[in-house]
Order: sequence, then structure tokens, then C-alpha cells
Amino acid sequence: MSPEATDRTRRGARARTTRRGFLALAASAGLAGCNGFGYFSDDRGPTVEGAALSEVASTDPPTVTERFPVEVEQSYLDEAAATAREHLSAVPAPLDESDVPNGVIRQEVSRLYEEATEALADAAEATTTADAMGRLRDAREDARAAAAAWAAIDGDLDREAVRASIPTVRRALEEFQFRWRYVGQAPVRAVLAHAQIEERVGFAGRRLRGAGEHHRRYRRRPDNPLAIGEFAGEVESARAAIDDAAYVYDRYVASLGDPRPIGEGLRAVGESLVETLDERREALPGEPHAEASSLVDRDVEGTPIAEALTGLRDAEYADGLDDELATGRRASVVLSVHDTLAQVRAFERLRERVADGEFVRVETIEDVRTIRDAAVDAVAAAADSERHSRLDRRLLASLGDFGYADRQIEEYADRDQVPVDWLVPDLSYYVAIEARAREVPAASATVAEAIGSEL
Amino acid sequence: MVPLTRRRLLQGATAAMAGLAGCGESVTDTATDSASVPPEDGDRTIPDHRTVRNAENRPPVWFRDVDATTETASDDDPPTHRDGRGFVAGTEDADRLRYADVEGAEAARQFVADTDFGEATVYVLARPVRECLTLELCNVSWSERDVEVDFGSRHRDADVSCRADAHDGVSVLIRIPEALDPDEVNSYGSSWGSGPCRVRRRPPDGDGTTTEAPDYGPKTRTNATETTEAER
Repeated sequence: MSPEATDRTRRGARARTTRRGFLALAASAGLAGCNGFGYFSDDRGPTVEGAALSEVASTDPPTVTERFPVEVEQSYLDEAAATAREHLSAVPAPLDESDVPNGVIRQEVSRLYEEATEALADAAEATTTADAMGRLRDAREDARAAAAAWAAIDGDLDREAVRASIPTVRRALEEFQFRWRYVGQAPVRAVLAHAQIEERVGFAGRRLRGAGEHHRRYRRRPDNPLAIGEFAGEVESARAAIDDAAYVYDRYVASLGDPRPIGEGLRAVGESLVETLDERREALPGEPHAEASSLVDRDVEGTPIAEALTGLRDAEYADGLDDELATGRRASVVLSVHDTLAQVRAFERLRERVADGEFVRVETIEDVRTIRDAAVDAVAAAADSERHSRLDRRLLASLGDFGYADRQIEEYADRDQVPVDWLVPDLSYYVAIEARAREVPAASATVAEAIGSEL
Repeated sequence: MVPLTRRRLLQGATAAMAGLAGCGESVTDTATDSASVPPEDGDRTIPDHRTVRNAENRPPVWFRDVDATTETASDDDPPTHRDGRGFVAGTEDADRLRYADVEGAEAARQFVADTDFGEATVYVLARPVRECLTLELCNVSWSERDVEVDFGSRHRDADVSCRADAHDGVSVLIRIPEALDPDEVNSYGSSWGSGPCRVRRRPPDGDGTTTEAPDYGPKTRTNATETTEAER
């Protein structure tokens, strides 16, 4: 996904689980439909009971969360929430007809207000620091958008005033970038911490560029209060990201007893890992978007493993990596390679297992259960490994959404008999999760070694 | 970039005009979230036109069927948006037009009356428009057999009292600068975008934007002396 698209998918508690390659896998898994046995034919092949499916998907899957590499104080989060609430207090909610006679505009400002309120609630209940910070940034954006729209309606704010605030925010971003240094102590933690900072700096930079374009694009409706609100919200989200980046950096540096410069080392780690990844990618068999039959010698068409294979094959390159290299985000480069190596290894190993005959053609509910249990067990086993737990956990936290596949399976729960063929795309999801979970320790070991050799 | 969720929410109602195609006619009606204008300055290529708005969701300008046997009946039946589409290629057609008693109707009647039908044709069409939005004419293109119209819309002012879920009927009368034969025209298309008419983006004229990737890492001041890589 493009960086811009990723920015907006961070809403809600499952912010992290839909990153990068796995989304491509989800898309490919969902596309293949009722092949093999015709949808309308009488011969539908083996079937399973809908009720049994519901039971299989009912056990809680393991959830692993990524540990934030820096300690974030509750007081900082409270401050961000207070900023959002201050914006909201400027809006005389709930709005009525006398406030804003235009029903559509009134509805939209109210919606922004509600979204901000919901984001604040989500942040308060967030189970990870990253989620809390992300939702607080959303809250600030929407609250400011609502407040700015209201101010525009009231005649207190115009587009030019918002535009005039952009250079100030841009300067704040630059000032931070000038005082930010690649310093660290424990190498892996350093990579994780700077990656968090880079992500927020990138977000702020993109938002500011977008806001500038917004101003040009909407010059034909200069007075529309909703456009002004949206514009102001974009600038506010950049401000929030800069605040967060600076806070994370300052907290990180304060936690270091003996910081040393690591910028050159970071660059070298990234270079070496990208080289490793390129070699692995070049050695991959088959073309992107190949059929499973061209990837293995066995007849696996119509099995979950076939779709998992093609999905992993196609998602084999981190699509954010080029942008990270181009924009100097050295730590993010390392982590993107980490993500992709795990995926490439998962593909390679899955292919080997197929060649060894280790795959099932799903025919019974037990087969379905076996596939799901294998994924659950693989995630649990990888999570138990203490060796490179920080690196492992970041991969495990974004392996893919058990919940997604479970919900797909449960769609069929009301049916008496479900052709197994219909389940193949959803089961391939579990196979992919399992394949990737199994490679987490090895991928982390490779990355940890590269980091350790330079930093 | 406009966040996807917000753009979707700012879209007005989709252009759900039901049952417009008749025998031998093809009608396409699409809704997108932006409408285009041709590369030249938009105003020059948009024909002269008038817009009339009816607080009821019915066309304020419509054609009355001239069938003698149903003349009384159709006078009583409220017009549908389909009744609001047609061509005025001469005074006979003009005589079939009816106008609701609303603001702008008289100006529309005069607009039709002032048309030189030897050189122009008035194309009339109607559509529902959300009470809180205005209709903008972005583009008109035509041939002997086909007329295509693109609309955009804007929010009406915040002070305009309007309901979010209600629709007005809007008629648009477009003076096409060509004497078309209405019998030859058998294809009509109109599209509606929830945003204002988009001007096609011109490439920047050397305003200094570079194609270099931005730098999202730590920065060093270029005028600092001897800033080594190790300090980054």
C-alpha cells in the first residue's frame, strides 16, 4: 500500500494488522471464488456442516502485540486528549437548525465531532501505546476540522488563515529534523525507536504537502466551511505527528545511559539487508502472479496451500521499501526488510513442504480444524521464543488477522451443508499465517545478526 | 490527499434516476465524485443556460404531451423528471413547455423565447438535487445523435435552511449552438459529481517544485562546518 493509504487505515484497534504485504494476500485470498466445483452444479464435492464451522472458528486466536520501544507517560497522552477536547469545546454541540440551517453542512460538522469523540474513547481503551497515540492524533484532526468548520460558518476563520499556518508547522518539522540524531545504545531497540520517529516525520511531511495541494485543488470553493475544516484538520494532524515524533525522541534519548552515534551503522545495516533480500528475491521461482502449478511440481490447484503460495509469492516485496530508501528513513528500511524476509522465507519453506507431500486436500471438518489449529500453534510457538522477542513480536503483531478469516468462515454458519470448495480462499489465509509464523524466528535472527554486526 | 472516508461522506446522493430509457433511446446516468471540464477555460465552452429550482422534487419545467385524448389527464398529473427532458427546436416544441410558479421560471421562458431556432436548439433536462446542494453545469458535448452533459455540485451556504435528506427538482435549459434535429438524437447521457466542476490540472510552470524525494530522516544544516556522517 502507498504510505498515504497506510496513514488512513490506522483507525481503530486493529491499526497494525493490515500492513503491507498481508493486505495483498487478503485481497488475493478473497478473489478466488467457487472454482473447481461449479456453483450451480449438483456435484458440489465434499461438504461440511455450517454449525461445525462456527464451532471451529469459535476458539480465541492468539493475539500478540508489539511493545512500544519507548515509555510513553500517561500525562503526555492526557495532554493530547486535552488538545482535542479544547478544539471540540469550540463547537456548540449538539448543533441544531438555528446554529447551521444547512442540513448537509450541519450533519457533516456533527459527524466530525462524533468521530473525534469516538477516537478519544478508543484511545482511552487502547491496548497498545501505538494505538493510543494513533487514535489521539485522529481525534486532534477531526476535532480541529469540526472546530474550524464551525469557525468558518461563524465568519471567524477563512481559508487564507489556515494556509498561513502551514509554514509555521513546516518550520517546526524542520526544526525537529535538525535536532534529531541517530543515536542509540541497545541496537535493536535503537532501530525500533528511530523507526517510530521516522514514521511520524514521514506522516507529517506528507500531510503538509497534501495540505498545500489541497489549497490549490479547492480554490474553486474557497468559502466552503467543510473544505476549510478539512484543510485545518490536515494541518493539525501534521502538528500532532510532529509533537509525537519529538516526544518519542526526547523520551528515548533520556532513557539512554550512554548514547552513541549510530547513523552510519544504521545505513550500513539497511544496505546489507537490502542486498540479502534482493538475492533471496532473485532466487525465487516463478513469476509474480504465477499460478500455483508453475511454482510446484504437485497438483495443488484448488487447495488452500495453492492460494497461500501464490499470495505469498506476489506479496514478496515490501512496497514501502523504495520510498523509505528514497526519503532517508534508515531504520524503517531495516524493518521493511524484516517483514519481507519473513514472507519470502515463508514462501520458500511452504513450497518445500508441498514438494515433500505435506499438504491436505480439505474434505472434512477435521481438515478445516487441523489447518486452523496449525496456524494457532505456529503463532503461539513463535510468541514463546524469547531469543529476539522485540523483533519477533513486531512480525507476529502484523501477521494477519485471524479474526478476518474466522468471520469469513462464520458467514456460512447458518447453512446446513457448505461445499468445502467455498472455504478454500479463507483456509488459505490460515495457511499463510502459519507459514509466516513459522519463519518469524529465523527472519528475526537474520536481521538481529545484521544489526549486531554494524551497531 | 483527501482522506478516503471523508470524500465518501461528502458525496451527495447518487444520481439514481430510475426508468429513463425509452424505446430506441439509450440513457446513461452515472455518478462519480468529480466531473470534468475540457482543457480550455471552462466558461468558454459551456453553452448559455438557465437553471430553475423547485422546492418539490419535480421538474419546474416540463413538456406536456400533446396527445389530444390524454390532454386533460396529463395536465393534472404531476410531471416526472422524465417529462422534464426534451428538445425545443421550434415554437411548436416551445408551446409544449410548462413552467411551475417558482423563481426563475419566467426568465427561463424568456430564454426559450429569445432563441433563434435556425441556429440553436434548447435542450431541457431535469434531475433531483439535494436541497443543500447546488447544481453546476460543467460540460456539454453533442453530435447529431447524442448529447452528453456533465454536472457538478457545491454545498449551498451554511445559512440556507435545507434538510440533509430532501431533494428539490432542478431543470436546466441549455442553448446548444446548433440546429439539431431532435428526431435524430437517440442517446442522452448525463453524469453528476458530488464535487464542484474540476478544472483539469495544468502542469506547474516552473514554480520550483522538484521531483526529488523529500527527506524524512534527521537533517543536518548545510552551512554547518565539518558535519560528519557520524554525527547524524
